[in-house]
Amino acid sequence: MGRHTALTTGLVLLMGCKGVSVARRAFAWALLLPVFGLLGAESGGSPKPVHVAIIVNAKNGTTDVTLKQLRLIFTLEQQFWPKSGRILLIQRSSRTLAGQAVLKGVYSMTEDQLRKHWVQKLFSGEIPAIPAVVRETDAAILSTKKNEAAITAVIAGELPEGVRALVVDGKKPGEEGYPLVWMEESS
Amino acid sequence: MTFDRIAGRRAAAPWLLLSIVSSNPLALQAADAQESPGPPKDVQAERLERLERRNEELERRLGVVEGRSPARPQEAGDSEDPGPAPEEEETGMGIHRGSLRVAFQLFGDVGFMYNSKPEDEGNTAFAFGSMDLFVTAQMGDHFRVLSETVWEGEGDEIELEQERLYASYQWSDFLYAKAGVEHLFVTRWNRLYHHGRWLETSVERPHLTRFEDDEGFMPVHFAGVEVGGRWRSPAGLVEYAGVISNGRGPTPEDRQRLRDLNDAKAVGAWLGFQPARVAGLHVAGSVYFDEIPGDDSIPGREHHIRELIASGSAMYRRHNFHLVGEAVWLQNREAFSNRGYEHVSAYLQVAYQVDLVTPFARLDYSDMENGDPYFMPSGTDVDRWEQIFGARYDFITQAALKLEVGFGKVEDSGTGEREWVVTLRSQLAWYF
Repeated sequence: MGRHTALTTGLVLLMGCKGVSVARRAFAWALLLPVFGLLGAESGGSPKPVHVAIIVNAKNGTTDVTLKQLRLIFTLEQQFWPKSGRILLIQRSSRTLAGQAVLKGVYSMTEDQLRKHWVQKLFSGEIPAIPAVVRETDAAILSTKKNEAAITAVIAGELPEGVRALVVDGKKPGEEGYPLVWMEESS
Repeated sequence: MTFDRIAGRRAAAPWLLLSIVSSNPLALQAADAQESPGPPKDVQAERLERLERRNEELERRLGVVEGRSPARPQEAGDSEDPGPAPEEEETGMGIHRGSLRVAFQLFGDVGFMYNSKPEDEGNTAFAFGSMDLFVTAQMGDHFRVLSETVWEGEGDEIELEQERLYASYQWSDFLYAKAGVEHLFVTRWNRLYHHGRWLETSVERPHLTRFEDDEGFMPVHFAGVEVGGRWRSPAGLVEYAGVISNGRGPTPEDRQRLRDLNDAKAVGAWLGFQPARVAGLHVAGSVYFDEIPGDDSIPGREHHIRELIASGSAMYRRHNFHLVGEAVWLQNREAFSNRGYEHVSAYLQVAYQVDLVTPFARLDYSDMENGDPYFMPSGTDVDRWEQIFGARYDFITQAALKLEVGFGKVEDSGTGEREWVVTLRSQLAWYF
């Protein structure tokens, strides 16, 4: 049932039929409310902003970065942390929300352009291997927790001990003005 | 109030309650939590077991990501199966054992070409192209080796060439050193694409980037030591490199990879910059000096030549737009007569990707001074300009079909006259 059809039906029931009793109108409302609820949940209404956190190991000395610096790290133009050795970039699959957000917000590339970027970097001898791609959030977090030099992207939320989110352009995930925001509906 | 109305309200009340509850999942969960006394112990144990299994699986996958062998007890068997890897969309082939990471890639291409003014062959030809085996291995955080071996046509023979082989040590972003055979930084194109034809947008390379054995006049390879790094300044990323090498041999094709005929070494410096304010822009410049040994077997080449090269490049890549341009100035000064010969070459290529198709255009220009004793014997001192229009079609992720039409004028090395040349080139290039 289309959203407009349901709405029209509701309005007809409520206002159109003068002879309908209050009880029946209430009954109709009772039937339609969950339908509206479900439709609202499915369509998402207005686009829902999802904040993507860039997480590192808790022992990593870097606490905040600019978006430009993040781009250097994620393209591996910068390959070493100031104190934590060679950066271990854990890419997120483009089939995840975090992966899509990083692709658009950090790389400004399509998936194929990014792949070409890595092949070119590898071929130029600039990187030792094409960074691994991880789809599961749990695996990405666990890997970051276990490796002091790791960095990855996850949907912002409660993080376990051992990892923490980087402040990007002076903003924490969830704060207004945080740059890595993905509109869920636009995906 | 009639009985009917009262009955109607009574009937509607549970429906209203039900609808509110069912449209609010939180309310349902809360109700469930209040009503349910909790799962029985056997269910809890099963859930715990499931979580433990999942944790073990994640730990095992983590081991693969970090290059560790998956932890397993000695008595658990001697299986070498590292378990399902979390990597997906993998590019190329690789081995990952402990601190050793090895990556392999194979590039290949075949093609067809039409040339309105061929030298000693027919106007049309199908061609083998090349096959490029690339291997790199990282040992620990800092040490790396790299090898690039290419099979390509020379006349009607297919020859094997070791194009690159070096070992490098990277202390940090600020400093690396590499020793061996590598592509020289005086041309940006070669440092970006090397011999991988799939990486190049066009079929044919610009004149100034052609290899020494393919009508090229620039030094592309070097055997020596390169030191460089990059520094992130507030204004942008600064890149730098310096090289000391054997330099060129008595002829432009001689790369001196195995020996050096003189003790004078070639030296060069390169500086690149990516401004923070203009994302996607890269500009660079270099200078290079070499003393090319004389050759008694070639008349007029008895004395050494001092070669000086200055080059500049600009590249802008943003979203689907890609622009790259380079210009070089090269001077060869013959030592005995002190006579200098100056050569200038430049190209500008622009491309815009529309979905899977990338149309491109290039203007390629070379103004070579006649009489240079170094270039004249090999016929590389010819003026030329060419305009190319073409398109690249990435029909799958790892392969592309390219087609380009070129027209322009090329100087005849014998008569000195400039003749129109029309070319049509197509190429199927891939990697895996």
